[in-house]
This record gives sequence, structure tokens and C-alpha cells, in this order.
Amino acid sequence: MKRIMVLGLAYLLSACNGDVDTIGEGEKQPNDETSPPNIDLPDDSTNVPEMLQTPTLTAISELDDQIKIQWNLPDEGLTAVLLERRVANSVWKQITELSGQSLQYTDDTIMRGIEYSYRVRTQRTLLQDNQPITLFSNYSTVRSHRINDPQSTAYPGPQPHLLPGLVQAEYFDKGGEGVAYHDFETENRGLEGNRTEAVDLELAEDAGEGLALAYIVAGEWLTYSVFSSSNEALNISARIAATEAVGRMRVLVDEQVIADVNIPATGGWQAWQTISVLEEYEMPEGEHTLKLEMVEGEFNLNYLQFDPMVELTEPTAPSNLTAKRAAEPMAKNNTILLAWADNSDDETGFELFRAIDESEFKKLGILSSNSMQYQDKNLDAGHTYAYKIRAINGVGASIFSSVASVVIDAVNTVDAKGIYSADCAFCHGANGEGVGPFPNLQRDASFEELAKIIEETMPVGAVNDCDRECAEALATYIQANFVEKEELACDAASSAPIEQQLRLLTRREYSNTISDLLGLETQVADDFPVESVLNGYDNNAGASFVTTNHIDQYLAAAETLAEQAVNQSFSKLVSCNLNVESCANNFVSEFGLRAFRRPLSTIEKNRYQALFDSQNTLNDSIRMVIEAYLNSPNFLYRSEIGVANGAGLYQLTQYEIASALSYLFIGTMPDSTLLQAAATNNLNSSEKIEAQAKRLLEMPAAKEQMKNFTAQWLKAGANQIGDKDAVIYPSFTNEIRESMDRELYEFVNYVVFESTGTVDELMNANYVMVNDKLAEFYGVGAVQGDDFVKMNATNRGGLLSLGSVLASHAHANESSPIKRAVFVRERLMCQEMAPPPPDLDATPPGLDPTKTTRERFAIHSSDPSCASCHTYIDDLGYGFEGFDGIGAFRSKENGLTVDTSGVLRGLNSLVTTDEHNFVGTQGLATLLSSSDVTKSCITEHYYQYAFGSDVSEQDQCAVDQLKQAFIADGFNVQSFMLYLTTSPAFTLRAPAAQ
Amino acid sequence: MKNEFLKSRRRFLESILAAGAAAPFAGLLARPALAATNIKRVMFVYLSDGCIPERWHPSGSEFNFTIPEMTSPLASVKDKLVFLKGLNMYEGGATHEGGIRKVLTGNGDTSLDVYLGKNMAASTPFSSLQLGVCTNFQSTQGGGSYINGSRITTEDNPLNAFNRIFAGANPDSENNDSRKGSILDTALADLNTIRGKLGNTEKVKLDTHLESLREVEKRVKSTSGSCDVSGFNPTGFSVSPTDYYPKTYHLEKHYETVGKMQMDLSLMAFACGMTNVISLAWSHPVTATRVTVNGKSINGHDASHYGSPDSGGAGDFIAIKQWHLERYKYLIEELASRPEGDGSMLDHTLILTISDLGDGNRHDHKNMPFVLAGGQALGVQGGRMLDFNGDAHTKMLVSVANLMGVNINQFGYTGHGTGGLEGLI
Repeated sequence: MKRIMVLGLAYLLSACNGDVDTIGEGEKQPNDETSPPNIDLPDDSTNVPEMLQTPTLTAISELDDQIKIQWNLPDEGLTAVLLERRVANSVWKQITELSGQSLQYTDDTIMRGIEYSYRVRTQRTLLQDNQPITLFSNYSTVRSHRINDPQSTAYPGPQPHLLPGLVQAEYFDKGGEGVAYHDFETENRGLEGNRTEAVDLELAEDAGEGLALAYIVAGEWLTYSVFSSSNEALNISARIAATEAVGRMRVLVDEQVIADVNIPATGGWQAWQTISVLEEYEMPEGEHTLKLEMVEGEFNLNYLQFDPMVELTEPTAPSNLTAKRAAEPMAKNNTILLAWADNSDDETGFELFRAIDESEFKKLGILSSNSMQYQDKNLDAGHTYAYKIRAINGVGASIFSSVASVVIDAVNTVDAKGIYSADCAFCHGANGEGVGPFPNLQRDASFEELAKIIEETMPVGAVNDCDRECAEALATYIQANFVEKEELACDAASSAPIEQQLRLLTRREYSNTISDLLGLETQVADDFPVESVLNGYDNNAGASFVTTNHIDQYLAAAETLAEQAVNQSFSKLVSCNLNVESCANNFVSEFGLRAFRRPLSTIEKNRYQALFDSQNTLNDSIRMVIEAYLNSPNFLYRSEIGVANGAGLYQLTQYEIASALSYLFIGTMPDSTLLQAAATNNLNSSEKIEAQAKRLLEMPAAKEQMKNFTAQWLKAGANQIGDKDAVIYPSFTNEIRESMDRELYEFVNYVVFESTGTVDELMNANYVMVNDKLAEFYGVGAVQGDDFVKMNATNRGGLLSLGSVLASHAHANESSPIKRAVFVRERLMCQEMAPPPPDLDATPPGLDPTKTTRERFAIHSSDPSCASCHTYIDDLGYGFEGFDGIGAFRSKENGLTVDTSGVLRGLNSLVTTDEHNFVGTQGLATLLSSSDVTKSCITEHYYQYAFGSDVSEQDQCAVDQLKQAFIADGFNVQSFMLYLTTSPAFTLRAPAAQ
Repeated sequence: MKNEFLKSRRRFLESILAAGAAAPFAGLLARPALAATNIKRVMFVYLSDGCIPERWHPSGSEFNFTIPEMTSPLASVKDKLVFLKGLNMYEGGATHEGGIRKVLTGNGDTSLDVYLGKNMAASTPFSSLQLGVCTNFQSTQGGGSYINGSRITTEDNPLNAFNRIFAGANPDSENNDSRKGSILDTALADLNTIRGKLGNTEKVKLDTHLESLREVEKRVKSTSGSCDVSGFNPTGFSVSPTDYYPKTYHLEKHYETVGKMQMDLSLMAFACGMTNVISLAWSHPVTATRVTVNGKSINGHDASHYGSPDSGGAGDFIAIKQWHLERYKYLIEELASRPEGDGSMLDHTLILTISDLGDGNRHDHKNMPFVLAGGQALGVQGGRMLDFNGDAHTKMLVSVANLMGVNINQFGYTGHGTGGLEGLI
């Protein structure tokens, strides 16, 4: 109500200026001469609409010979309402322009029996920068109506046949013999059809079936009421069939002969053909009577066809293109409103083009036909946007409208704090501290890099939600609030970040230790509880807890081992002769020192001596003590506790250093030389420590250890190569699996201990280490016997193409670009990939024998919610496609050539602009080894393995120092390992966080 | 060594067999009397990789519902079951890794089985047991049991498990026990020395070690009754020491046999009062094992990517779930057939199915496949279906704890509120 009153007031003010359409229903509106009243053109007043909403045609009704149309107007402040009409099946034409408040119209120029359709659109003219611009709404719904003509003779009626269109021969007018037709027989010889007249009709076996005029005899005629909906020229044709070319027909319109045509033979009474009757016939708009005179028989007639002459042309160009920036609240999304005049009625759509700043125009999209406005949303501030538009149809495109452009100033209105708390804090923490696997944001990074990462990858799964402006605002917010800008000084404390810890022996370490301690080869530890694996490493100090299961297993193992130990030579236990009393009296301390890897305290000595003394025979005593030692936490844990050094840190004892060295390099307890060195304080300088380290590295056990590290680092251990589908990969036997495991051992140890020992060679080796089975499997030539030899290879070599690596990072029945890419990112580049969003179905695409793997994974790049992360994954993984799921080389997959080109994005920092192309694993290896990324990452991984620790914030200084050393040493692995033992992190421990 | 049936056990069993006892439970538990009506037990049975929710959960109303194909083996024991529909797991990680980590922990650091084992009133030689069937084969994730945030490995070797659990069942083991007692005392003393020196450093680790030592010591030193364990391993399954990878008990062809042994072991452990809390895992998330069902070899993980509920893959998934649920039913039927107090063992025992996923194809944690059996004497009325419409599964964990007499109000995630499942009891 309020709305009408306001407008009414405006109206009263301007009522003096001319004829005015009053508001209200039931009144007849004057037509045609009404002109829109003179409203002052407002300048972007916020009360009037910027974009015009589409009106709705609500009702259509008839009164006498008039059709009344009614509609709703959803907007205020309109300049005019434009009404268009279509007569029957002709084109739309505007029939009147009404005031901007009018809600109805009565059309009195109609004919009975003909269907009319109506639609409206609204118009608003306003001033922008003192220039008038006009907006049009899109068209409303369409309503149609026909006023019946009771006197219509048209059959089937009530509408006459509409032209252009078909006139079915059986639909001659009503009226009967002599009026509507003339037929010589008294009844329908064809006996078809519902009508009782005598016109002969039979079934037409033609497309669309229906009936046809048949048994035509000279002198017969028929009439048809037709209506031409426009003055267009028409081509007339007839659908006929005849056995002989004897027929002739005349066509009359309103008693005037317009055509006289001979009917050719078509080969049968049901062999239908279309023949031309007359071309370019102009039938004036309106009703006419069509008469067909059969001059000569016989032939059959199905229908007459009246086609408009289609002059195929491009549509008329749209005009009056205007562009303006939306006011609040749309402005928050930086929206530009476009409007234009649609001047064509034969367009299939409009093509809208846009240029940003000085760039070229690019097509923004195709809008539907009859569109007259568009909103371009989510634009970035600080740019000029220019637009042009043209109409298109099947023939081509119109010329362009003129260009309209708008500038959006750079104003930062993003609520970064609100956005962060709503969308980011869940994963990254309220203060950017990071939650679970999601990174902490408190580190110092370049603003540009941070903004880029946010813009391109955040939030995960809804990347488009945060545009450039939003990303910059967030980056500013994060850096201002979460990051402390002071430089982290790497002081002594931060160089020794590993906390005091006890490290539970892994099963392998237990077995190795037993072997050296008791001289027994045993598999008892295989049944111990499996270790918790953290980030691929089974020796994480913080993740190993002793459960009752452990206790039971330790008890049972110790019982078995102690019994075996006493049944063999005592010389493996202690060096003196245990049958001599003085030796036996020292057993507890001497053996105890080996068992605990350090001298016993007095209390401990007494404790165990009591056990020794509790037994009756020497054997039982020894057995008892051994069994007890093997259950003691002093045996089961490696101690890295140290003693306070007065500077807030703890210095590892000589014995602790001995253990640290031996478990790191040879995976077992310190030998007598090391224990002796500890006893004599000869592990008290970096040089001495390094000397021992070098000695250890020369032992055979060092190679086993190297393999143990590498297999965990690459997540390619023997039991990480999962089962393979025996049908798809019948050649993947246990022998191959085992050989691949040994290949890893052979390769890494060859490089490190016999060749250059550099990361470069690890990555880029142009040879492989193979035995006979692998040589055949890889196709690198013939090798005799099970021993491994070095063979040159052209299509494989280096870590990336190790059989165990390729087979571990694959599925049972296919390769896996995803797994291989994640392997590269996490194990070789130390870039953690987030898992897919929880609600996403992450099923790999099903096997398809007609496609390569690359083709099946295409959706990851085509779907934007996948692409934001997968751009770092798939293109990288495709480089491995030259190797199938069991690590065999292939040049074809399902008969299609394999494409091993790949793209590595984010090599140095996780932004997509850091992009590198490569081909195959060899190309990738070159890329990785040329960047410091892999070398840095190896450092981090070895750090984790060496110290049983994750790498977090507090470890950064120490890790950085190690990285620098690695670089300085030319990335030599052995040198690096030796350097590690001389670093403060090796011999110092920090106090545990309380 | 350990994989052999220890000679002493065999002798023990032979004597029992000679006396004519046949079935696993023939003969009575001779443990000191715990009034049968006070017994409370719980068993968690893990099935891998979720389900097809539309084919698992019944439709209908609380007492009047239809059981669809996936859970059809349970129709005959329907009156012993409560179907828990519409429970979701919230927070924590996604897909398999996230699911297994939180299903028994509610996203906390310790799983319910471990927690209950330590907090239930009745004390048993083993606070809880974690058993597996091919659970550690090609996986470091399986089981679902955690302590201090660290995974507890299941025991996959049934012979090892048997020897460990029933060591005390051997009347000849007296000498062993006193010897073990001394050794454990010494280890405890060493541990306390270390604790004294370290103060708060490595406290959690050492406290856990201490608790474990104490529990074993207590078990070793308590007077053990005899318990009839004849009938275990009727097929004479043995583990070959030269089967390095896979281990004998990890071979697919033994999946069914090993599973049966683990189940019988569990039933015996309950009957003999060795523990009141057992977690049994059939394989692990992203199962690597193939099981032959009606002559067809099916990998449960492949089948869990069933595509649409009507695909061929769905058929396989249904078949393999049915196979496992037949075994779940075996546990139910066996416990139901043994009298205890005024009813059966089942009346005092809860058996809950768990998984790492809800919908195996979508990898979500919604509408999880939880079915609760037994507990009729604990207050659970069977023959029902309850729909919780997306409520948090941690409330189910709380309810289970409450049914075990442990009166907690929350266990892990509380974003949907505290307390147990309304309407369960």
C-alpha cells in the first residue's frame, strides 16, 4: 500500500504534464497515443532499482472482441512498460509502450479464431555522469489466448490453418458438398477418416501418417480457411504420390489462381514426394480461403506446405550497452551491472566480451536469447572493466555494440578477522598455531607467497571463496597477528633441541642386540608388538609405550633366550672363564655392563647379585640373571638422559654416546671397542666421536642400517609393497618382491659406500643393481645368478625408478600417479599434502581398458574444487607412468602410448607459478637434484631417523645447520652422517617440557 | 619357539581330552566365585571399511523393523540385538586413518577397551585383550586400540595369544610363576630407580611401563584356578618359523581358521574370567586380505568401493559383510548357549560391531555400522532398532562404559553434548 501511495504522490505532481495512466483495475486504457510521463531522471538514488527484475504476466482474459492482459511489476521507479505481441506463429512485435506504473492493457486489434501471445518488459532511464542511460528488464512470462469464432468453418478448427505451416489435405473446411468441396462419389471411397463427407481419403504411409486425399478425379475441388500471420513471402510445396504422371492441380487464394502444377509420377500410390508449387508468394496478413482444384486425376495428396523464405542472415546487433558498478550491498562483491537493447528477433544468444585494464577482450560467456541485462560478480578491486556484446545465431554473429566500461577502485573492505575465525581457525588454530596435520601459520614467510597460497588453495574445497583481495587481507592479518617478526637466533639451546628421552628398542634392534650380547641368532622379537610408525619411522621415541602384551612377550622371550644362552659356550657372555670363581663373582657386573650398555650402580649390582645367589647351580644363576637383565628397562630402553652441563642442557654420558653411535650406524649395542672408549673417556671430543663413527661405517652392519633407513625414508620396505593382483601382474612373484628389496639395499649402499656417495648419484644414476631375475624383469640385459651386479640402463636408474619404490607407491592392480606424487612431495620434498576433504568420495576412477591412467584421472584437473590441491599432485605423478604398478617399464598402456610428460609445481615454494616441465622419472630426478629441496628434505628425514623425533618448530635451527653442512660437503651422504655426530644435537639434550 | 604349542600345554590338554571333555566350554570355570550376577563384559568386533548404510541398517520402527541384506545373518538372533542407526563420528581425521583412530577413542588418547580394562570394578588377570585376524598384515593402522595416543598392536598369532593368556591354566607352571615373579620384581625396582632419577621427564612413558609391569606381576602372583581350555585349535593349526613374509597366520587361506581360533580364544578368556574386555579386529582399514565367500574370492576393500548400491561391487560387499556377520553371530549364539546366573553369558556381555567408515564408498563417518548384542541382564532390551539421527557416536561409548558400571559422562568428543545414548537403556 505504501508503495502505491508514494508513487501516487509523484504522479500528482507531474499529472499536469500530459495524459496520465491512472492506477486501478477495470478501466480501459487508451492505446498507442499514450506517452510516458516526464519524471525527473534520478541520479543513482538508492531507492530505485539498479538491475530491473523480470515482470510476471499474471492473467489474460477476453471481453467481446478484445483480449486483456495483466501483469505484476516487481520494481519501482520504472520509466515505461513495453508490451509485445505475437500473432499465431509469427514474430514478436512491440504493440504499445505504457507508463512505468501500468499493470494491464486491453488489445482490441485482434481477430477471432487466431491465437495471440503477449509478453512485457520494463524500462528505466536514468542519468549517470549527466548522460542518460536506459536499462531493460528481461522478458516476462508469456501468456496466450484465442477468442473463438463460432462461425469458423475451418477444420478441425476453430483456428484456420496458420501460415507459415502445413495444410493437411484431409482438413478441408466444413460446409459440405458444393460449399467446401466437390466430390463425384457419394461416399468416401478410401473409407478412412472420421468425417462423413464423401471426400475420398485413405491412410498415408508417410512420415507423420495421417490421411491423404485419394481417388482424385478431374473436376473435384476443396477449400481451406487459412490465416497468414505476416506479410512474409512464402514458398509453397505439395506432398504427392502418383503411379503415372497424369495429374494436374490448380491453387487459388481468394478465388485468384496463383499456381497450376503438373503432378509427376513417383512410383506408387504410397511413394511420397514433395514437389514445388510456387515460390516467393506474398500472402497478405489475415484470413484467406485457399482452394485446390483438381484439373486432372489421378494422384494422392497428403498436404500442402507453406514455408517462410528463410533468408539466412546474422542477427541485428544489440545497442545502448551500459555498464555501472552496483551500489551497496552488491558492491561488497564488486559487481558490475550491464544492460543493453535487444534489436534482433532471430538471435540464439548473446556473446559478452570483457577486457580487464589494458588486456585483450576475452569472451566472458554466452547469454540466452532475449536477454537484456547481466551482472558480472566477484570482481577484483583496482581494475578497469570494459565490455562489449554481440548477438549470434546459426549463421554467425552481429557486429559488436559499442564498449562500456567501469572502474572499480582498490578499497580493502574485507573483514579478515571475521573470515579467519569463521573459515580458517578450525584447521589452523585460533592463533595460527596449527591443528593436527594442518600447518601452523606463525612462521615468517613472504607476504606475496602467503597471499598467493591463500588465494589459490584456500579454503580447501572452496577455493573461489577467497579472491585476491580477500587473500591479501588475510595475509596481512596473519602476519600482523600471528607471526613474531624477530629473527630466531640460533643459540646453543636451539642447536640442541632433542629432549632427554628413553628410546625403546625396536624389534630389529632387540634382535641385533641379542645377537651381539648373547651370540644367538633369534627370531623371538618378530612376535613382539609391532612398533607405532610415525611419519614412516618405527623408532619414534615418543610413540613407543610398553603394554602388558610387551611385558608378556619380553618375559617369554627372555626365558627362551636365557635357556639357549647357557646351553652354549659361556665365552660369548663374558671374556673371562666363568668356571673360575673370581670370574663368576664378577659375572653380574661384567655381563651387566654389556647388558645395560653401561656400568651398574652399586644398588643395581646388589639387586642382581641377590638373584644370582638365589639359584643353586652356576647355570641356573647365570640363566636367572640373564633373564632378569633382558626384562629390565635398562636393557629395553636406550638412555639419552645425560648429566646437566651447567648451561641449561644435558650432556650425554660417554656410554650414552657410545650407544647413540652404534644404534645409529649399525643398529645394535656398542661393541667392546666402543665400550672401552667410553670407559676411558675417549668419546669426549668431536674428532674422537667422528673417528669411531667412521669405524662403524666400515662394518657390514652399516649397510644393513643404511638400507633400513632408506626403506623407511622412501616408504619402500619389503612389507610396504602390497599384494599385487595375480591376474593383472602374474610376473610379480615372491622372488621378484624379494629381489626388489635387495635391489634397494644394493643400490643405496653401492652409491654411498663404493661410489660418489652423493645425492646427485642417488637421484640420477644411469645404471641399476640387479640379479638375474630383476635383470630380466627390467629388461636391462642378461645377468647370471642371484648375486647383484651393476648394469647400465637407459630407461631407469636412481631412487625414483627403484622397483620397490614404484611397486610400493602403487595399487594392487594399477600404477598410481597420486601415490607416486605424494611420495615425491612428502619423502623427497618434505611438503605435506593434506588429505581430501572429509565429505569427498576419493574413489579412484574405475579401470577402463580404453583409456590410459592419465585420461581416467582427468576430473582432478577439470573440477576446480579438486584442482586446487591436485594441481600439485597429478601432473607430477604422470611422470611415473612409464612404470606400471609393479615397477616394470612400459611404453604402452591398454594399447595406447604412455605419455610421461609431467609438470612439477611448487618446487621451491608451494605456489602454482613455480612450474617446471619434465619428462619421465629421469627428467624429474634432474629437476629435484638441481634444487636444494631434495637435499634439505633428506636432512630432515635423517634427523627424524637419527633422533627418533619429529621435525617441528624447535628443531628448525638444528636442522638448518645440518642442511648447511650438507650443502658445504657437496651433498655427500657419508660426510653428512659423520658431520651429524659432531653437531651439538648429537651429544646434547634439552630438558623435557614440563 | 613361541609358535609351537608349548609342550606343557599339550600334555595338559591331552589329559583333559582323555577325560572325555569335547566342546570348548565343557567343564566349569573354577575361578574363585564372582557372583555371576555381577559379571559385566564387553567385546568390540571390528569389521573393515564401513558398509552400505541403506543395506545395513534396518528400516521400520523401534520394535517392528525389517533387516536388509547386509545384516540378514542377524535376523535369527534379532531378539538379542539393538541396531544403532544414525550415529556419526565427529572431529578428528578423515577416511580410514581418521576413522580407526577415533572409533574407540572418541578422538581422545586412550581407547575405550583399554580404559574400561583399567577402570571396571572386577579385576581380572588381563585388564583387556587386543586380538586380530590378519590385522597387522601390510598395515600399521589396524585394531582401533590406543594408549597415550599410540596404537596398541593386536596379537594376530592365535597360538601366541593362547600361550600368553592361558599360561596360568597350566598346573605345572608354579615354578615358572615364582621365577617370573622375581624377575618382575627386579624390573619394577629398576624402573622405580629410573623414575626417581628422572622426576617428571618421560613420566608418561615410565608410568605406563610401570602399570604394565604391575598388572602382569599381579596376574603371575595371584592363585590361578584351572580352566578347561581343551578344544582350542581342533585343526592343529601351526605356525612355520620359515614363513617370514607373510607369516603363516597372515596367509589368506588361514583367515577363517585363525579367526575361529581367535573367537574361541575370546570365548574361553571370558568363560575363564581371564578378562572382561576384548577387542577383536577382523583385518584392518583398507584390508589387504581376500576372503573366499561362496566360492568367490573377494577383497573387502575393493568391494567397499561399491559405486552404487545396486552394482556388482555392492553384491560382493554385501557378501563379505554377511560372511563376517555370520561370525559375529557365532559369538552371540555361543555366549547365549552357556548358562550363567539367572540367564546366559550373553546376558552379561555386550558385543559391539565397529568399523573405520560409515559408507565404504563415500569414505564418510556417518550412519556408522554399530550393532549392539547381549547385555539383557545389564539393562539392554534386545529386538530393537534405534535411530539417533546424526548424534555423536561418543555417546555410545559413554553408554557402553555406563553399562560396564563405569560412571562417566563423556568419552572423547563432546561437541554434541555429554551423556550416553538416550533410549538405549
